[in-house]
Amino acid sequence: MKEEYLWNKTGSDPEIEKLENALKAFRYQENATPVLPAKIIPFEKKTSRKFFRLSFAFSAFAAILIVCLGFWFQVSDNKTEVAKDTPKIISPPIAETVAKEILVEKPVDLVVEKPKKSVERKAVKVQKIIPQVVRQNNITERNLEIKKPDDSIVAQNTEAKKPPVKLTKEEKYAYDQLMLALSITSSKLKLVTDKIENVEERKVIDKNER
Amino acid sequence: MPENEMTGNLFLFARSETRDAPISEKAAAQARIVERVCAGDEEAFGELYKSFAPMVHGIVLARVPRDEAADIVQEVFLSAYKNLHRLREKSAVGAWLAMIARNRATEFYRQLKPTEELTEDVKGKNNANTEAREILSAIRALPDAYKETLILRLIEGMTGNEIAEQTGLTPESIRVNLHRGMKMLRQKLGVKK
Repeated sequence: MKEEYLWNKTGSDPEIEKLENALKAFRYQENATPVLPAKIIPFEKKTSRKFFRLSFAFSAFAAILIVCLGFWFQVSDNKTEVAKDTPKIISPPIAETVAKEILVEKPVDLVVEKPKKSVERKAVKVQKIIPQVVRQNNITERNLEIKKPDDSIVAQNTEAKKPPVKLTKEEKYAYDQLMLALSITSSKLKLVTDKIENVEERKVIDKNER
Repeated sequence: MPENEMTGNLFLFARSETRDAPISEKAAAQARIVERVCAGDEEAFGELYKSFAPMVHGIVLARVPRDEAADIVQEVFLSAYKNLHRLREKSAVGAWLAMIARNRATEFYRQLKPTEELTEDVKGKNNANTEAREILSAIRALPDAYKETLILRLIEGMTGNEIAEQTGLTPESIRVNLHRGMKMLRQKLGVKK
């Protein structure tokens, strides 16, 4: 057997040639190419996994960023809303107006000589509504009984008329809350005192009747 | 000559020969054909079929009956056409086709319904192809690596280099397979040196 003939058909080898001739019948006979499917199969574009990983990471990062920004904006909006809304709470203006009334009216009431009872009533009324302010101004029932204009009260009132110190948002909010609480408590106190007074009046009436 | 010495010489010879053969150019040409097929060029598919059909036929013939081989070759190429876009290494189309052919041949036996073989009386004793059948059955009885290479060489008439190019195997291994396969075939057929 010649290796050269077996490898690249150079030269001759009768034994191999004999085998080739015998097996010739089984050789591939060229046919027409197979009929391709009628539908054209679309070839997918090659996309690497790396690209998918990068795109996924980017989209995930963007989603997280959007969520965080949304949350942050929401929180900041709530804060500003609270700060804006706080002055609009009904109670503080009432408290302020009442306080002004007290500050303005008291001296006038004191200067103008009115019957004792009415002055007492008003003083009590004031004390009921805003006790702190009254205390600050030293307006007590004893002072009112003197019926003399008190210089100290006037001085204090003039001091109170000074422009208020500018407060920060938080301070203002706290102040408003405090005033609201005070107004609520004062209104409740008023109710209680009214009830007590009524009871006393009835007792007096009952006694008189008897 | 001792066998080891001979195979050593064969390796040397093969190396010197592969240096001359422009295999890379052929691989590049094959890759170009595949790219054209992927682009939807049916003519390129015809070229691919013509150049690889004998190799596929040889691999299929080494495993399945002769009558079935032609149909399986067609199936192999249709399957390849459908899945060609998945082939990453375009220049390795030959090895890829060979793999599909082997798988198809295995599937053929898996799906085969039980049949009875014809007796010698029915077949006809004086058939002209009797000798050829005997040789073919002797080749089929060899190990896979040897029978494929021998069929491609003796039946399909391909040279060692052509077999190496189309199947993706190295010329050295083809040379060894041819040499050892022929030796075993001779023993099977009872041919004396």
